[in-house]
Amino acid sequence: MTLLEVENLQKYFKTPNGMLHAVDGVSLSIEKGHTVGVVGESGCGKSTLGRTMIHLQESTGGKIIYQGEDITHVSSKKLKEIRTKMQIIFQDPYSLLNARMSVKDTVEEPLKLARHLRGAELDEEARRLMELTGIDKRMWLSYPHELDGGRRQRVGIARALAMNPEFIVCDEPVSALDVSIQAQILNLLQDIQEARGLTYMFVTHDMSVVKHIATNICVMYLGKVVEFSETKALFSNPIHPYTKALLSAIPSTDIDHPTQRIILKGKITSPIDPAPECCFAARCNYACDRCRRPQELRKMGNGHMVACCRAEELG
Amino acid sequence: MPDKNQNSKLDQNKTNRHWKESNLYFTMSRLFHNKLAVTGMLIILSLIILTLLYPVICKYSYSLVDPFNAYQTPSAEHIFGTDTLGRDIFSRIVYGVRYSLSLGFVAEMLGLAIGIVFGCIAGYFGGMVDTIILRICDVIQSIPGILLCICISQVLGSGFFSTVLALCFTGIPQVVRLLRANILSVREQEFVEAAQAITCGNIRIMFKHILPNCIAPLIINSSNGIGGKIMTSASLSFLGLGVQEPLPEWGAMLSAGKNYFRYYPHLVIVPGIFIAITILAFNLIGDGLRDALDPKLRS
Amino acid sequence: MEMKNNNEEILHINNLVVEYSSGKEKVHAVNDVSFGLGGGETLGLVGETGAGKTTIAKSILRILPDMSAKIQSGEIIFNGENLLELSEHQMGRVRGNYISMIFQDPMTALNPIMRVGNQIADGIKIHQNVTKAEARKQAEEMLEMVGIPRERYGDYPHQFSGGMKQRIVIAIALACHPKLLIADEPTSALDVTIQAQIMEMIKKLQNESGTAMILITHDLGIVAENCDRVAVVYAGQIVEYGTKRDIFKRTAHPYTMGLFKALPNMNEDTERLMPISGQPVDPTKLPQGCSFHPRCQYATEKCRTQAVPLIETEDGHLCRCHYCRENLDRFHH
Repeated sequence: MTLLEVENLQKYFKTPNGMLHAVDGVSLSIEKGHTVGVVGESGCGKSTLGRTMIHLQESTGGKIIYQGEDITHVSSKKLKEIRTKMQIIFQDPYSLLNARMSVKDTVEEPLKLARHLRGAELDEEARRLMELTGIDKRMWLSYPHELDGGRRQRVGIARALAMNPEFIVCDEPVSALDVSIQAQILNLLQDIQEARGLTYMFVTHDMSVVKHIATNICVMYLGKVVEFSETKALFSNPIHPYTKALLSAIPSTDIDHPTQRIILKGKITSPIDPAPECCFAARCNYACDRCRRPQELRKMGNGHMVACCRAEELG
Repeated sequence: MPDKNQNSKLDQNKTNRHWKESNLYFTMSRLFHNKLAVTGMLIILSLIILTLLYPVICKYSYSLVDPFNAYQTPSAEHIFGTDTLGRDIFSRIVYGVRYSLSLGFVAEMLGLAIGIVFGCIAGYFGGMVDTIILRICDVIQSIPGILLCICISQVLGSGFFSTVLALCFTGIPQVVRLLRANILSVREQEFVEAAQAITCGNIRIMFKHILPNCIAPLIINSSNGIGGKIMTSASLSFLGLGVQEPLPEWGAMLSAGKNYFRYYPHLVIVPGIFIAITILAFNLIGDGLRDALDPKLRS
Repeated sequence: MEMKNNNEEILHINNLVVEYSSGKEKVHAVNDVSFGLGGGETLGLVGETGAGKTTIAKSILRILPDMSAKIQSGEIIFNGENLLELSEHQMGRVRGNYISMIFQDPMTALNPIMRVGNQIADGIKIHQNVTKAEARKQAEEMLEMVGIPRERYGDYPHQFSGGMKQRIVIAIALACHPKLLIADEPTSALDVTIQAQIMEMIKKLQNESGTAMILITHDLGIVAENCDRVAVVYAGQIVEYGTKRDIFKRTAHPYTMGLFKALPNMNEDTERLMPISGQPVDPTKLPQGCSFHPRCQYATEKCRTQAVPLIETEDGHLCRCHYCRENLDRFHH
């Protein structure tokens, strides 16, 4: 069942030099219970996509459909209702919590505000959330500055879960954490997903993390989706030249089989008022005349979709 | 019920720990370890005690005119001497503490309150509202502070409350700018987005999430500001616009003595020293607060 | 403890101890670190945040903050001289000329109001005593070496992208052909595809000039691809040291093993990751015995009470664990 769908979603920002196309016509559908990984380099619009989908930012154009209902333009009352269903987990452990609120206050705030819990019920639910996310009782009354990155991230997760959401955008939740802590948080996210049947959109630049956690992967480049596929298929058979380069750039820990690197040349196209041609053409090793035309995301079979005119020969 | 007992003990432990680890405790302990700041606080405290003890320690009323004993230099009878009308300067200084301190304090707090409201509006909503508020601030700030105070005092007449209004008005733009700049940077942090996501309303986000994280620079600014306000109020009195005779405002005392400076310098020096010490004390507290509230120094 | 190197050693650190004092607390940042580095070699320093990697690097250049940090004891022998005994003036000649450093964040490493070419030429002028014209010529050559056209000599930092800025930082660092380059997370602020280009370029330049390098990183993939030797740092100590093959194929320390297990593997499918339990050690309160024992699943009474020396597990492979030989069987049967 499709939980969330976007059609031709656009999000532009005004800059002194023109319109910055952060998200430029993205169509994507997310199945219930799946984890869709969104990967791409900094500035490709992956975080903006996540935030626009859950209405933290207003979209410039396109449609957002949640469980068959168009929620692109909604009243503020309806917006509150939507927000209880969709939550977000953040990247920066230093700014994701209010420095002036204790752990307990932080987790209880959504319970009071959105779920109107009081007294014993509130206590009970908060306790359950803390247990679920592995926050020690000792830390209930602590303030964020006393906690390390991993624990802060846990509090952030507890706060999001407090709303009882169905869909969570995870915006680089582990990229600021050390390897050993990163593994703890990833496991926690997987456990919670299993226990509550959650759907994740996992935004990251780390390919190994996304390979581990995602069921489907969406590769973004300059505000556009260039490839969308099931995780295994993407890693075993990347088609788009950008995906190929991205995968080849990951340093491998296998010292006997180093990866063959594809080095990209050429300048990165500016996201400000880009020409309607293939956004990757300037750096692409396979660019040809046909790349001057806009590239549509095309089905390649088995749910594999690629936005490249030479997909058939490259696949 | 032993279980419950234990629980409440645990809770108490928690509250203690809570207090010991809280931001306020941390700031306070840092502030009280700062010798200069403590000196500043002791000065202010002793001034307040002095003025409260006025009926006990002062033999003469601040307004008792005694022409036969005018222009007395400091002696055992009159510690700081007497002024042109033979009034005891010590009594006048001690009684005057309440005017100087309360003028500075009330004006600063009023300015802070008004400044916070407009600063919040400008910083949080941005856009057109922001521009309008900032341009009004520009206009106020483009007029030299003391001139503006003189104008306002002229219009409202002299007296305690018109002086407070004049003083507070000139301080508002600085608060607005400071707060707005802070809000702009805090607003971008992820916990504000999180607050939106958990359906907090604008007002809650503003007062529960953003403002508490912007308050530290305001406290420092106010502490230094009180000193400045006392100075300006003394200047106004010096010009004959502030608190009026026979009430003993330090600036007015300074002004009254200025013509006799060559022969009776104590008429000017004594109130001058008190003004200087009070302002210094507030500045020391302000500096101490700045160090105590600096998050970078936090372990 | 003698560490063997085939090439002639250019750097040898003996028993380095560095402490920071913040208030009443003492932070034990580096506790008795020793290692050697041969000419042209690359040593990877791996470890988590706060393990003391950057402090080791800054100690070599003597650029620790004077106020709070103190090198308690130890020797840093570079080219036969103990750097810790040099005067500040002599040290100034060593910095940049013989040893240079690349920092993590290219955005703040460059002076924003100075033309990038001049920033490169400045170093050359100061250290090599050449004329302005000569320095400019060399700076232009450096720019081309790092893949930036010489026409951009007069541009300012804001006109370059992040990757380009890091290239310029590298050009500045290598301008005087140093014998030793310290790269502190040189690519972690950059995108993967750019990171690949930059590492490729550093390796090429290093091979051409025979510069030795200390590469500080938390990314085991980068270590695997670029280093000859690896030192794993935990709580200010080297817990495992050896050739790349020793560390990756003959892992002997439970912490190193834990790092590998915690990493999502690109080549195999793992259902669940195996995190190292607990939190990184608090450097103000180092535990008794082995500093890793509170997080170690194999810890015994001996680990809790007895400090561990570096033990030579195999030829040239050192490990700070009472049970390192047993671990070899345990991890690689």
